[in-house]
Amino acid sequence: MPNDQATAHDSLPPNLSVGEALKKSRQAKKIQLRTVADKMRIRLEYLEAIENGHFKKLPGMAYGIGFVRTYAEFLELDPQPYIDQFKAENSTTNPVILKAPPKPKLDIQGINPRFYVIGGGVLALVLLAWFLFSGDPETPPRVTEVPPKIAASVANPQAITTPPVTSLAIVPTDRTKPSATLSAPAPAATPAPAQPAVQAPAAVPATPIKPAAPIYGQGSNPAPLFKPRAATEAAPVAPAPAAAPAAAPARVPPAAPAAAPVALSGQFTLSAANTPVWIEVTNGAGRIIKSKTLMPGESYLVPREPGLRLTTGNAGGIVISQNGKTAPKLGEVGKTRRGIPLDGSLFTVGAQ
Amino acid sequence: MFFNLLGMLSVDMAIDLGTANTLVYVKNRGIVLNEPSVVAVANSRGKRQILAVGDEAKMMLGRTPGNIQAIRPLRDGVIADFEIAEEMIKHFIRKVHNRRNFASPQIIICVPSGSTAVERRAIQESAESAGARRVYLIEEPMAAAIGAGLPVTEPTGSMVVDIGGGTTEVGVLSLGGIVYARSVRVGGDKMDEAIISYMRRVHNLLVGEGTAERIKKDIGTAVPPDVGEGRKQEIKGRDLMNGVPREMMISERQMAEALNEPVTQIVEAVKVALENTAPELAGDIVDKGIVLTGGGALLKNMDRILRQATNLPVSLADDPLSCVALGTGRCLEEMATLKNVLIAAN
Repeated sequence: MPNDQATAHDSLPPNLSVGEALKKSRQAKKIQLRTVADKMRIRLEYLEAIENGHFKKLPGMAYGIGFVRTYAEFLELDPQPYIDQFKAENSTTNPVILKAPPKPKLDIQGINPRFYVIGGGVLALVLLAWFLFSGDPETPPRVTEVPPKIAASVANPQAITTPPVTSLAIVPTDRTKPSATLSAPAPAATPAPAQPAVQAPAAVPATPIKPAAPIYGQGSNPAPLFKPRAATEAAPVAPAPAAAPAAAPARVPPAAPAAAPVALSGQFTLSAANTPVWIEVTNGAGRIIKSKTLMPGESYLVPREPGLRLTTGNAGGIVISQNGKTAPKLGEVGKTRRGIPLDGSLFTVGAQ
Repeated sequence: MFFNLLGMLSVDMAIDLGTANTLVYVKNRGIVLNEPSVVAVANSRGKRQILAVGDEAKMMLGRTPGNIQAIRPLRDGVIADFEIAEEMIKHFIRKVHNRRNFASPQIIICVPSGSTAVERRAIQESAESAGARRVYLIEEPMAAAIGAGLPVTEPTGSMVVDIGGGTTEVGVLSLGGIVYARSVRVGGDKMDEAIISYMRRVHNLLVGEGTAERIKKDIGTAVPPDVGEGRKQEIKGRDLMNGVPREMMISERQMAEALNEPVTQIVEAVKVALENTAPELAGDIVDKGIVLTGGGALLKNMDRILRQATNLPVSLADDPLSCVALGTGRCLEEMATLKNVLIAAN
């Protein structure tokens, strides 16, 4: 009904704001504002806001325009000039600034990209740690222990006078990984047990070790308690280090400690007398530092660590010595003893 | 890479691909094209050729000889004739780019909220084959609300009713998303059909679509006048009784009667939407009311009948015909902030 509505007011009365003009028209028609609100369903406060020019109270420009249009139509006025005037008066306030809708901060279903970075870092640290600490448990402490022990061995005349043969007998027994020493004799000084390793490159040429080492390596791997191979294994040792055939099968108990004169003061030597002996040595932290079967004549030099404890499967067959002294027997042959502290108490009778 | 280079030669567009009219908004330039969605196809020796698109084609609607067809490729807001729709989009892209052939623009097209995945895909593929580099879709209620200037990204409920040519979209929006949307396939076209069928049924007069549309725009109303017959206008058509062309007068009251059915359907859709609105949002809507957009909103007293039916403030948006195109265009301009409201096509 635009023709009907466009009555006398084709344009806004001059010098009046949109609100004042609407108010004037309404008062001229003697209509209450409440009536407009009820008929047009517009909240009274919004109509008041339009009449008084408080446009900030309106819910938005778009709604404001709609209310002005509805109000003007109710008063049977042509709404367009009023809308134009309303827009002009309202131009200072920006129509509607559309903000970006809230963006997801954390992906619920997937993984936050940050976790990939953190996870990658943790993985890298774990790998690094594994590379650093996953070697032979014996090797890292020995690397550091070498220099003081060399000094100690120099101070011990017994160690210096030891013929190369003894080191031959010792080297294979202590090698859990013979390939390391074979491939690189010079760096072998670090992973090898302190004394023999230091002396090996100097005293013994690398070649004689070669045939012996693989055999012992194989023999020591699965480590069953008793092996019929004990004798046959000893055989190749003898021809290889031709210099000292007698020293290798050092079976006499006193000979074993004597055969390990490289032992530093206070260092324990474990050796098997006539029968194979299974031993397991743990340190103060409860960590197993050695677990193997000693064949007759074989011996193991226990690294110096606090709180060493020995478990053996053949109490009568094991010979424990320290500083050239042999400890009394721990028990009968074939008897198992657990958690025996490797310290001075071994030499007192009461310890057994 | 190649497309990016072509993209530099093209201007991005937002298209309101409507059943009745297609509006094209070009970035930084505004609405540059508003033409009826009609394509005239000539059939010469078994080959289909595009004869005219837009205004020119609309003139031919209902007046074509045997070898020419004036087709409206969209029905009920979605593509009914895939091939022709593609040609039409192609035509509009070329027209906007001054007939340059290498244009490969980024396009936002709006789709009815009730359209199926297949229908959306059809619109998207049409635009892609017409040369679009990337196609985004936006749901019509969202575009209409943004175009009407409603604060759709705020945590407050806004209700918009967009009465288009093919569909009526009722949407409740908040926080940049559609909380509830209902699309009924009733719009300007159904109103025209209602007028045609009323004239035939009551007055035995067969009128064409164009005449029905014109009469609807002139004296159509949703509510009969309080007193009397209201305005009158002459309507021309063919008499069904004796088959001769005839002219008769029709009044506003008769139009209200003719339009009663489609208008009631729209009112029902709005009521159903309100019933399904969460209470907090309903509270916001009671305060601010419903905003009407789309060509159908220009039907006289449409706001009044909705106000009566819902008891809510109902206001008409400024420039309701362009709301959807303006809203889609605004998404194009403010792509960075409004990208979330778009449906990214894959």
